[in-house]
Formats: sequence, structure tokens, C-alpha cells
Amino acid sequence: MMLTIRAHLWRFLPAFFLIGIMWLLWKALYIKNIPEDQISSKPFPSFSLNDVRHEEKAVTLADLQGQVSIVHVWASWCDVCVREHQEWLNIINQWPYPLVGMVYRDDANTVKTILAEKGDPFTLLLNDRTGQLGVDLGIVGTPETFIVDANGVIRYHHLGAIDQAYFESELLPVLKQLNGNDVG
Amino acid sequence: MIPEFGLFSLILALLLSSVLMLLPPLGVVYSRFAYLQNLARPSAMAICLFVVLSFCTGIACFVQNDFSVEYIAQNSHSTLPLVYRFCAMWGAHEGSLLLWACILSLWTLAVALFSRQLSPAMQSTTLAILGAINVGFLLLILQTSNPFLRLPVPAADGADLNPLLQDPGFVIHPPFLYMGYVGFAVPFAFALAGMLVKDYQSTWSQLARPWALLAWAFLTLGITLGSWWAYYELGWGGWWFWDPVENASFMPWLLGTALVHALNISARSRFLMSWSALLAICTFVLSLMGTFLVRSGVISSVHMFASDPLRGVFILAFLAIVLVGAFGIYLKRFPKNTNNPSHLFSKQSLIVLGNMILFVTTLSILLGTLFPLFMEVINDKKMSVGPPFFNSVFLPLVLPLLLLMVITPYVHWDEDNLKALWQRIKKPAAMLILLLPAWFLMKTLSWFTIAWTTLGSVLVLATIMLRNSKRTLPKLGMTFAHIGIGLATMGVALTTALQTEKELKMAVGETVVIQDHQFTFIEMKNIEGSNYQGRQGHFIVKQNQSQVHMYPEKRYFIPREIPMTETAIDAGLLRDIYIALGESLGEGSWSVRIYIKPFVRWIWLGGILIALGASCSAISAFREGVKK
Amino acid sequence: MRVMVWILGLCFLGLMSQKLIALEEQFAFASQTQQKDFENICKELRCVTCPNQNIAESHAPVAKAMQAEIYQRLKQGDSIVDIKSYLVSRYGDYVLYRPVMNQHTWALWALPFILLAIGAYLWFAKFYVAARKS
Repeated sequence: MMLTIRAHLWRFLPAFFLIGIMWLLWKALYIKNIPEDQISSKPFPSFSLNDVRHEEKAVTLADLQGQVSIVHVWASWCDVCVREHQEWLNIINQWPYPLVGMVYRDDANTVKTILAEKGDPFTLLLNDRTGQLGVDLGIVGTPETFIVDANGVIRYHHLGAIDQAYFESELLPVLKQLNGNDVG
Repeated sequence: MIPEFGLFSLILALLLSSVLMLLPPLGVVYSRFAYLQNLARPSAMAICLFVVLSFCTGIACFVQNDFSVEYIAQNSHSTLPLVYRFCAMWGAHEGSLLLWACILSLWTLAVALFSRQLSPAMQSTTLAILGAINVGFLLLILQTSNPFLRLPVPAADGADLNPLLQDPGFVIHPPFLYMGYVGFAVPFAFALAGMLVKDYQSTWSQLARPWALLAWAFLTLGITLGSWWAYYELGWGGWWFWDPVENASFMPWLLGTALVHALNISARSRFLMSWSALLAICTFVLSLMGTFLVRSGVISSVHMFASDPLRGVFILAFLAIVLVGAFGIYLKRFPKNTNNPSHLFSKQSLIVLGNMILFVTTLSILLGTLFPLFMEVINDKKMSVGPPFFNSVFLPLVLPLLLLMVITPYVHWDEDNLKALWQRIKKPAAMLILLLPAWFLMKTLSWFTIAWTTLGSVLVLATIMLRNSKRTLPKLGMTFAHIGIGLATMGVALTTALQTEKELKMAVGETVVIQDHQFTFIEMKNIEGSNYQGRQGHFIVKQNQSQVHMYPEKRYFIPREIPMTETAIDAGLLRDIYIALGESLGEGSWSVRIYIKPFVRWIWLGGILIALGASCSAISAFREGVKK
Repeated sequence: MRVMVWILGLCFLGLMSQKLIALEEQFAFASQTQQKDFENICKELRCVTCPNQNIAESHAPVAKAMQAEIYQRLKQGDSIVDIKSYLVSRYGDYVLYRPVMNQHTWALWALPFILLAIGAYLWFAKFYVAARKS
């Protein structure tokens, strides 16, 4: 009797296994793949890069300390970034936070041309020619935007382009809160 | 008008499939309606007619570049050459599903035509099951993936076929692959029908065997073609990436290998019935699961179709229904063996051992493919499982299988012992001395490479030296197939060990020496095709006295503006020379990838031999069936 | 669906970059072993913006930047383990094609061989039992 029950149980094994797989596949259909904005507290990595506009000038992490800044990663070869540039001009016009740009694996001359043509909202503009600072930051593509507090800690990370409306609803509160301890 | 005709054909086919699925079984169950069984074969033929017609109208729309149809607008262009307009039909999701349905209907027709010797009950049941699968696919197409949808405003021009697909490889690889995938629906149907129809409970495996062999032959060719195509198309000299979509075709192939061997045993010895049935079900279920994985968006792969969660849900629901139906029948009408298992040491038992290894290998690949999904669903962690895992697991599992393949053909079918086996093996084993010079040549290689190459060559030699009392077609089939595996193994081991990959910067006029081949970059010129512009490099490769001209290209396709690399390959039985252009580095110099790949062709030659062997066995199995 | 397009778009942008700027560096090492190490590491690391490619095969800027970083670190003499753990700290386990062995993934590595053992036992049991009967 026991033997026959055990024999019968074996037959059900493949069926159960496949049902398990079906459940997994069904759940997998609903995995969200949209990268969400991350609120984190990782320190901004140390670096030493030249400013694209003043090549003799070396910029380091120390230059970011002391104030809340927005770090924006972009590139001239990235169409989305070039279109987004206008948005940043408008944003900084209205909310003059320090905007630290970082051009990713880019050509300095092309960048300078774009800034000359369209305008330059950047306080500092890092030239990450090899993309190594980008790797340190965990950059996946361009454009990406970080908010760094006065102690050099990354407090916010967004993947993708930003328009003024998004800035005002998502980034501005964070900036205001971080600045809340000092003069707003 | 033509697209609507195609759509209407599909709807008719769906209606006919529903008829096939419902009415003949009614005739089987209720003797009152026995005449309904006569509907089975004509419906099957009619379904095929309408689905093929629908497929042809799709192609006609492509040939005419009818941009009022959304699918054509997404996948064609006014400058697309005619050849590629034909195969653009299966260039994206909707059209490739229609190809699936078309091929399914062709297999259904084939079964209908060759089933005259079956009893009406068996005919009806088998065809009804195939009809049910047809219903599922046609519903899927009509509900979620209609290739005949019109655009509200016809597009001015199309978005062009992905340049990666504008290649002769794309004309043949998907059709062969689908013939294989889809073909496993036939042994599936025979297995289920065999369990349902009283008289066929022990003979269905004999009927299913030729169809399984044929589908397996096609799948072997499909995978071989895919590997060869990836090699010359992608520009990196790779021929297998353990990409989820590749795995999705490899798993049914592995189970299919187990199936054709198991059916052989079931048919001749009348045991192993439940295992054969299980394999027949699982092979087809894996084919369907592969279809799901590729189109649902759950897996990230370079082969992926643009996905839509709704399609994924639909395919999953269909898969669930197939599973419930198939396993319901399997568990309720569990096949009983009419014979006992053979002796522990016999050809049959060793074949079953091989089956077991193939099954575990398939499960392992499935595990690796689905594990990232599992982690993400359960733990919300993203991880990757790639070639390092699959190679580390697959190779140790295949090693005992290859050893089995060397020994088993020499073992008696029913009962054998080691002493008798040794008597038979002594002489062929002595011939292994032939390998000594090869070992001497290989002594600089790693022991790993030497072991695998030896194994492959021993397999080839052992199979050739098998003395058969009669040179029959089935034995020829086995010989070709096993030699094919041996060759492929040697190809894989040697090419991985001996290949030379160099990525360098070369200026026009420069010469580089790699492995006593002299590569001279002669010139770079502009070229133009019907829908692309490009740059073509001219290289001369000299070795000893011979020299060959090679012309790798960089093409910029006008509609989609994607740069494409056309590799230049000098193919040879003993080595391939492979040149691919990277990027222009300015001032007349280019980044160039030069690969020298010894014995890489053996991999695909092996695959072709396997398919040849399978076809021989399939033909003889069909002939046997007719004799009954 | 949108995300797929977005990711493919990033990859596409990566491809586009080649038309405008030639930033392909050559990663050459003095020693053969270091060159081999570099090639092997690159084959085991995943391009994080591409559907399924390693960083050597991918044209995406992230992949090339990662290669540049690995090149620098190998030259400085960092070990393969250190380089990999650095990249994992920045990109997560996702970037490794060879899954790490930890409490979550032990099943992945162990199951194939456990299943093989179970299968061998079942095979033996089935045929041995039959042999005993007859």
C-alpha cells in the first residue's frame, strides 16, 4: 500500500515542478523594470578632473564640499542630453543652485561649442574623458542626475532626463530640505 | 484588400481548428456520432490551406511594400531588397508567430496525410490534439499579435528591417528552427492520443518515433545554422553565447535527443512507456516555454522581440492549459509497461542512463536561465547567470554522456557482461594507437583540451569501427549522428584552445604578422548598396606560398542609421581567418579585429552530420511504420 | 515596454557615439598573462545597459569606461578578485556573469550535480530491481 502511494507520488513530481515554473514566469511578467529614483547615503567618490572650460584648473571633491550641489552627467553625443540642456538652463535660471556638470567620455571642443551656442548653466564642468568617475558613481548611461549634500554625500540619484516640472516636484524638495539647516 | 483576405483566412482556419478539436473526439467517444471522425483529415487539410494562404498574403504585402499595414511599416522599407522583404515576414513578433502557426498547420497536414493506416479513433484523437494547439496559436495571433492591422494613415515609408537581419542567414535559420520546435507537437499529440485510445497504448511510441526524429533533425539544423550565422554576423567570432533565447532552443533539443532514444526502446521492447510519454510532453512544453520566454519581456536577450505583458499573459495561459491537459491525461491514463526493464548491463539500460544525463543537463540549463528571474521575484535582487556558469556545469555533465556514447553501441541490446564486451572492444580499442601522433602534436595544449579532443576523436573512431552484420539505414543514422557529435566536440575543444584573437590599430599600408600569417591592409574604399553606404577594407593575407584577399565592410544603413559590421571570413576545413572592422581611428587608421580560428567549421559540420543521421533514421522509421 | 525602448535607446546612443567621436582605446599590456587576465575579466563582466553582452563585445560607453577602469587597475597591480569586488560594489551582483556562491545561490551551483546523483541512483534502482526480479 505504502509502495503504491509512493510510486504514484513520483508521477506528480513533473507536474508540480512545471506548475512552480509557471507561477515564477507569471510573477516575472510583473517585475517593474523602471529604474526608480534612489534616496541613498553613499559618499561621492573622490576624484581629480579638469574643468572642460578651464583646462588648467583641476577640480576635486573638496570643491564640492560646503554647499548642496546638483551633479548632472551628460554628453554631447547623447541626443537626449543635448535636448535636455535647455531645461537645465531654465531650471538654474529660476533656482540658482550650484550645478556641477560632468561630461561622460566626450570631446572637450564639441562640449565647448554646445555651451557657446546654447548657454552655460554649470558652476563646474568635469571632464570625465575615460568615464572612470562614471564607473565609480555606478553610471549606467546618460543623462543621470545626483544631489550631493554639503558633506559630500550623495542623497538622491535619478536616471534619465529631467524637465522643469519634474525638477520642481521631485528634486526641489530634497534640495530645500538639505539646505533647510542653512539659509534656504 | 489583401491584408483583410489574410485576416479572414486566419479566422476561417481558427473556426476549422475548433471543429477539428471538438467534433472528431465526439465521434470517438459516442458511437452515435462515429461519422464525425471522418471530419478529422479533411479539416486538418483545410486548416493548412488557410493558414498557408494567410502567410502568403502577408508575404505578398511585404513584396508590394504595402505601408498601410502596421507590421509592414515597422519592418520594411522602400529600399529593402526583395529577398529580405520575403523574410521580413518573420522579422518581428507578429509575423514570426504567424510562421509558427503556418508550420504547425503544415505538420498537422503531414500527420493527416500519413495517418491512413491508423484506426479512425487514433486519427481523430491525434489530429484533434493538434487542432487544439492550432486553436491556441490562432487565438493568440488574432487576439494579441495580428500582423494584418492597418494604420489609420498609411506610412510614407517603413522603418526598415533591422540591418542585423538583412542577411542570407536570416532567410533559413528561423524556418528550420521553427520546423524543429513546432514539430515536437506531433510526438506530443501521438503520446497523448496513445494514452487515450485503447488499442494504441503500447504502439504509439512506434508511430511517434519517425516524427520525433524528423523534428529533431530540423531543430539540429536550425541550431547549427543559428550558431554559424551568429559567428559571421555579429563580428566577435563567437558561436554560442548561452543567451536565454539560444537556451530556449537548446533545451528542447536535449530533451528531443533523449526522446528519440527513449522512443526507440519503447517501440522495440515495450517498456519505458511512461518515461517516453513524459519526455514527449516535456519536449513540447519546453518549446512552448521557449516561445514564451522570447516574447514576453521577462528575459533580457539580444534576440528579444519587442514585448508586451499582455502577450506574455496570453502565452502563459495557453501554456498552462496545455500543461493541465497533458498532465491530466498522463496521470489519469498512466502508461503501463507490458514488459519488464532490461538487464542492468545492456544497451537499453545504458541508453536510459544517457537519457537521465540529458534530462539533468536540460534541468540545469533551465535552472541557470530562470534563476535570475527567481531571485528577482523572491528576493528582489538582480543577478546575472552567464557563460561562466553554463560552461562550468554543462561540460562536466556531458563528459559521462560522451563516454557512454563510445561504449553503448558495442553493448548487446538485451543482456551483456563486461567480459564479452571486452572481447568485442579489444580490436577497435587497439586502433586507438592511431591517435598517438595526434597526442604528440597536442602536447603543448592544456590537459583539459587534450582530454576533450581525445574523447571526441575516440567517439568518432569507435563509431566508425563498429562492425555491423548488416549496413542498414538505421545503423547509418546512428553512425552519422554520433560521428557528428564527436566532430563537434573536437571542433569546440580545439577552436577554444587554439584560437588567436587580436584587436589592433592598423593604418592603410601597414602589415602585421600573426601566427605566421601576414596581414596587409591595402586600402579602404567607399561602397554603396541599395539601402546602405559603407566603407570596405581590402586585406591581403599571406601564408607560406598562398595568399587570399579579404574584404571586411562597415555598412551604414540609411533608414535606421545603425552601423553594421560585415566580417570577412576565409573559411577552411582546418582553420578560419576572420577579419572584422572596428571603428575609424582617424588619419587612415582603423581598429581591426583579426581572429584565426582552427577547426571551427568542425562544429557546424558535426551539426550537419547529426541532422543527416537523424534524417536517415527518420526515413527508415517512416518506412517501418507503413509496413504495419 | 517603455523601459525596454529606453534601455535599447541608451545602447543605440552608445552605437551612435561611434559615428561622431572615435574614443576606442586599445588596451595593450606589456605582459601576456596580464593581457589574458584582462580578456578573461572582460568576458565575465556584463554590460549593464545592453540586453546580454559582455563589456568586451559591447559598444556602449559604460562598457568601454569599465574596460578603461579595469585596464588602469590591472596595470597598477590590483588582483582580479579586488577588481571584481570593486565593480560589484558599484553595480551590484548583476554585473557578474559568473554568479557568486552565497547562501542564495548555492542551490544554483549544487543542484545540477545533486540531480545527477539522484538520477544515477534512480536508474540503478530501477534496473537492479528488475534484474533481481528476473
